[in-house]
Amino acid sequence: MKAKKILVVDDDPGVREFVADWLEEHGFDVETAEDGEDGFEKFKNGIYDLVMSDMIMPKMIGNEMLRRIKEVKPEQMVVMLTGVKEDSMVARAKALGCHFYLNKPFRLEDLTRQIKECFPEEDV
Amino acid sequence: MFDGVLRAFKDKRRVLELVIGLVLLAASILADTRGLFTAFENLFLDIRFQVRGERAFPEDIRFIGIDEASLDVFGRWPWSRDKHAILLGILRNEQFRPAVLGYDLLFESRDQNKLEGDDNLVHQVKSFPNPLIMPYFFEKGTAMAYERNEKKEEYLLKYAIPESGSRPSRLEEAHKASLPFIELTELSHLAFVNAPTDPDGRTRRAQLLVKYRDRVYPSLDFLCVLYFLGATPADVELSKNEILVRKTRKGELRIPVSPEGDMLINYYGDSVGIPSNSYVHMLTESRAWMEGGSAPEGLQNLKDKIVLIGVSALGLEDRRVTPFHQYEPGISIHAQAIATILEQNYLVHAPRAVSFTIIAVLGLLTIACAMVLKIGRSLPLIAGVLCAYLAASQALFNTGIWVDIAGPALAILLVFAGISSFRYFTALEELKRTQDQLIHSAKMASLGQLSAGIAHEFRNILHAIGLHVEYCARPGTDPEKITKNLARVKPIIDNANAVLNGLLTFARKNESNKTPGNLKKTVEDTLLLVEKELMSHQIIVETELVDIPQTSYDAGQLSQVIMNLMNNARDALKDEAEKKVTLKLSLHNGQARLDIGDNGSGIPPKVLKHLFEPFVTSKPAGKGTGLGLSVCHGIIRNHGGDIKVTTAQGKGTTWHIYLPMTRRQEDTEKLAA
Repeated sequence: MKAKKILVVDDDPGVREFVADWLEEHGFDVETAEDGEDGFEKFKNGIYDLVMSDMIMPKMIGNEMLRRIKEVKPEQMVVMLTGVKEDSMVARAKALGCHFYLNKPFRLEDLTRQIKECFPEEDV
Repeated sequence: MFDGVLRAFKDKRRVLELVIGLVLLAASILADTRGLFTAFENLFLDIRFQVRGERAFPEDIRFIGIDEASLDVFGRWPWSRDKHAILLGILRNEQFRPAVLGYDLLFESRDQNKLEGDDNLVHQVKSFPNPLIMPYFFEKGTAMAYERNEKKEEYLLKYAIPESGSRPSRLEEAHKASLPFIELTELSHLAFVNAPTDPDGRTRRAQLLVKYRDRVYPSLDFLCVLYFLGATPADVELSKNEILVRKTRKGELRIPVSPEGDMLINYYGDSVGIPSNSYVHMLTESRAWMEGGSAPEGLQNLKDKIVLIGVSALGLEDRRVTPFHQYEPGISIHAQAIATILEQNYLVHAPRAVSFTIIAVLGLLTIACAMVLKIGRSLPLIAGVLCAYLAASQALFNTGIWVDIAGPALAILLVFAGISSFRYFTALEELKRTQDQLIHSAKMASLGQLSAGIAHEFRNILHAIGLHVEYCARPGTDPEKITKNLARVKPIIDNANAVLNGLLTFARKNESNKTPGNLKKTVEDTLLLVEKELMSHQIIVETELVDIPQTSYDAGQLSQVIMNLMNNARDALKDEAEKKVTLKLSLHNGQARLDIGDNGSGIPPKVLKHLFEPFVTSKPAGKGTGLGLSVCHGIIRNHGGDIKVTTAQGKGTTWHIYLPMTRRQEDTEKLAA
């Protein structure tokens, strides 16, 4: 079976590279992007089973990227990683059709659980 | 006021103010005793004369002037002494004869070409029945002493004032008398015509007495009055500060004199106000009379008067500067001195002690006012006191008493300026401290706003580290992967350090400490602190930063300015769809220039006018303190730089910060180190 393709968008290289490595280790095909604009470009040029994105990034904020992705492909599965405590941002993400969101800081088990939730059939 | 003074002494600075005031006051009194204000005082005296205005000149005194009209007719000066002989012959006539005739013309030697003219003059002098005074000139300087003409000087002795035991203490002393030629010396009365001038070249005094070979001699002015009043030098008694003539036809005559033997002339005005006749008119009138006409008024007016004869033509150089005129003929000054004595209308300079007392009283009053009251109240009060004093001194002057103005006025100004400038400078220091505190509190306030963003930043960093640690700590993890993951932690920690550095730079205690620094790094450090905050507002930050060498600045303060302007930009972008902040660091005309721009709403014109004033804000109540921009302005100006703004409604605002470059070698070295 072909590996699931995940796009990880985060401006923080520490988190981005870690998540990407970790996902690859678990058999996913991972692409990374370092800001919203970059993320949206990569999304337009590829097909992803999941987009995992940070909320606060330079050039284009996570919610804006989410909005544009949903415009192009409403059924795209998106997980927002949020460290912000602003409910309005989370609420907006939900309204835009974000499937899940993961609060920063998260632990490995939270990440595992989230991926399992997204891909119930996969063995993580 | 007394309570105020007591309260004032509890404050150390007030005590210092008192000390400064007293020292300056003492200095003023000392300066006054040393005569440092004399020049000013004399000028003020002239002004008082002009304020008082001219007064009517007494009818008893007239002069016959050798004026321009006379020169036109008789040709250039000196004339043949025949002319004087003719005039004297006419004046001898009983109808016109003056009571006293005084010459202000020196006939020192005989005219070798026209001995006949001299003889005629001598003859007329001999036949003149009333006192006729010929002038002589006292010269100073011992070098001329041996040229004395002992024979002539025997005649002079007749006019010496009798010794009475006391005389003015610092009498002017002469070393030679230049007397008229021998026949005139023998036949006429003799008086000196020396006139002292003040150091500024003006004539304010008449020399009445001069000491010569230990005898005291009267001046022309004094002798004219003596003879007019029926007295002689033998009737005169001298004391330290007064000339006393006990018996005259008008009773006792007392003349106040200075220790130098001079008297202040209480000027009546200029020569125009003095009854006078032209020399040539006298002669032409007399010719008409001799040819059978009626006696002319000009000649009749001379009868029984004191009449002076001297030059008044502008070209003949016997000119003096007086309070009333720049070119006053000497003869007019003699006439005015004679009038002053004759009318006993003296001008008396108040004793020095009076001047010191006035300075002390006004000075102490000024100190008290300056110490207790605010400048807005003390200034008008002191100005009022000064004006009242000036008015009083003018009123006294009009009655003939001269009280000093310069010393008291300058003392007041000196004391007031001293205390005020001390206050100004201490206030300035205090203001500087307050400003520093204000800058610091503004910084602390923004630090509070920043803290949420920074906490967020650190949580992200700790999160990233945590994830790696958690990964590596799992039992059975591949050692290769552990190494790889741990290696990734290093840049994360570096990033944490960078943020911390930025924070420390920003939060540094405000000491206005300018050190050479890397401007680009300071901008980047500051950006690190606000970046996330701007991002969370969907603001895109674009930077274009070049390395700027050789700038000295206080990194903490500059960071505060950048932070402030970026926060302003963030607020200005609140309602924009596309939000962009640009930071551009460049070199501009030898200055470092940092542009911080936004594409927000722009600054409304009515705010623009008062942009850098404190407490001006366009933000809703409770949102801004209104101190931010005034603090920024203050910081940049303290750096010798400038802050400017370009703004367009609906298009955005750009702040331009200019900082001077330092070219000092040591700075470059420090930076390199």
